[in-house]
Amino acid sequence: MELRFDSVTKKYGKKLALDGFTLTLNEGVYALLGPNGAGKTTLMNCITDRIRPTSGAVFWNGEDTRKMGARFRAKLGYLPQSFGLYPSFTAKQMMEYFSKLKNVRNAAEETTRLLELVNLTEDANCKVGGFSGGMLRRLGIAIALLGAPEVLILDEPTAGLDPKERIRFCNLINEISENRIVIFATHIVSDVEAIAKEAVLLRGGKIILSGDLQTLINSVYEKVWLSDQPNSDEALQNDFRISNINKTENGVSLRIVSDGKPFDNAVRTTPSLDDVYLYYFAETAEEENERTD
Amino acid sequence: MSGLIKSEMYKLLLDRKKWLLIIIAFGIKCTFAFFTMRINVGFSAGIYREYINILSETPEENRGEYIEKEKCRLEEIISAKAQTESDYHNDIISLDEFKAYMNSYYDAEHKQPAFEAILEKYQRYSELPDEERIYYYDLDIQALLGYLGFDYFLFLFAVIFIVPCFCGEYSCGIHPLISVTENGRGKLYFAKITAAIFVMAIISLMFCTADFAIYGIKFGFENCGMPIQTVRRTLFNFPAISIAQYLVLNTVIKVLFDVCLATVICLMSVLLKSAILTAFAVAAAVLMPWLMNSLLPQWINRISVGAGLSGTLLTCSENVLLAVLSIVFHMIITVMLGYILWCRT
Repeated sequence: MELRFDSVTKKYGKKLALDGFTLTLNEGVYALLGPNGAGKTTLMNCITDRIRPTSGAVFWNGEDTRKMGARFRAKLGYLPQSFGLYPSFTAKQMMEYFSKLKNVRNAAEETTRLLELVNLTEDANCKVGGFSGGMLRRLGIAIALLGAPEVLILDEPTAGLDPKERIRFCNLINEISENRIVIFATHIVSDVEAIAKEAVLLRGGKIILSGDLQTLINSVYEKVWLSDQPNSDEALQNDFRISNINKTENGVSLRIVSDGKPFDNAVRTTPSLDDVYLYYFAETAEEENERTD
Repeated sequence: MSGLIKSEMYKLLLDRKKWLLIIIAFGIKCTFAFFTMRINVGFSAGIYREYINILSETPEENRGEYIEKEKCRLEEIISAKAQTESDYHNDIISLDEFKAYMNSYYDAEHKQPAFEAILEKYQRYSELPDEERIYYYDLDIQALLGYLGFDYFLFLFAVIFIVPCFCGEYSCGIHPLISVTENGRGKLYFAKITAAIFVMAIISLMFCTADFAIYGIKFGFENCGMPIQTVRRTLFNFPAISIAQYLVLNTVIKVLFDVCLATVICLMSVLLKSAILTAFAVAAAVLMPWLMNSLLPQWINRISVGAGLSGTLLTCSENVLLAVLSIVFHMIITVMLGYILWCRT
């Protein structure tokens, strides 16, 4: 089981949404981490063949997925960032409809099993039009899982879910991650920690770092500092990437991500994935100005 | 595949109680047809029928004599009426006498326009060389043929029911989910087009049948065995078929063009992705040339989609070959549109 991206590039006019994206994925859960406009959704659209790359290709077990067409789509499960369903259909009808679209043989059993998995059994006969955002997303997950897809693509899957549902969803992804490749895009670092085996950090359509979570954390080893300061004024926040501010009796305790020692009293601390995100994606005011210029 | 077609049929006809809308539309259409399908002439159809009944009961060799006598009688009465008016104005007769005379002329005066129509037809058809034709009842058939024009109800139905077939996917946001499934492109599109065509053909047949049924209820079908040339003088180059056969042929053409319309709507839906835009585009493409027929060359009007949809393709074309070419042309266009649609998937 191998999903390979070979120099996938996508241009929208002069803007490069994906820039020579090259990566090989095997069985497991992969997180795509990056700020808005990093190219996560474009990459997912390239995998699902919803958009055609300007150059490069995606290969499934060595075969071009565009040439595979329906054969590759048969292996896909996809939950887009935003989607709708037929409001007059019940959850059960919706599952049955997608069972036909996905050639699911034991549609009735699969529908029952998946609706139970996403905790929608009681609402199976309710019309989708009356569903809350969270319920709709759970139904979307059930639809994505129909037909036991080997590649599961989830774009911001936990957006709109309440904390309880998010935890439930993360556990669900862990349960179903065996024998398939799961790729999910997110902004939420804690979701990555809970689910992913590896993460890919994207910025400007390029991979800036990829690997297992420990590798990512190690990349900012010795770059995370704790420092007590009398206050945390705006100038301080503009000059440093501050991942946390705790009030203390004498002022504030700052958690700073920085290549060098930010203050004399700063001491190194163990980095977390949040620090990784901050290190690679948060810009100091100075960097932002440089980039704008 | 059949499962997908069934699902699409369900969405087109049954989902959101659309069947109720169809029944209501069908009811309105039938009611409208019942009250508007009439002999649209400038005289009383009842008097016209009276003459027809008299002529039917009169042996053929005596019909000419009867018509001549009636013509003279009416002319005399009209002449007498003119004289009476003149006498009244010259104070030769009193007002009461004038009123009494005028009342006696009323019946003849009332009958004259209908008789003139009978006379015109008698003279016209008497000149025709051959066969025994029942000329006099053709007003009824004219009422039906006149009614079988562009069916705005059906057009509205097509736009309301077929447009959401594809646009519904885009408007509710389900398209991203569907398009990545195994059958979500080629097979689903095929199923949608098949369902749209099937629904359109069924409804088109239903509406045409309703017109015929209402005609039958109002006028009866006794004269449908007559050659079509008896009621459509422009069709002398047309093969000798009966009115009934002509109506069936016309219905088949209408259904074919409705199928063509359904395919055009499907293609426009996929291209434009918006129900409102598609409805406007279809209305513009089909109705504008039809409504602006005076601005376009006649031959375009005669072979246009509007002519096909209105069922006037045959009657307008005069030349059978032109009508057949128009049908073949539109069917080729339909297949090509279907192919383009298929390729877009």
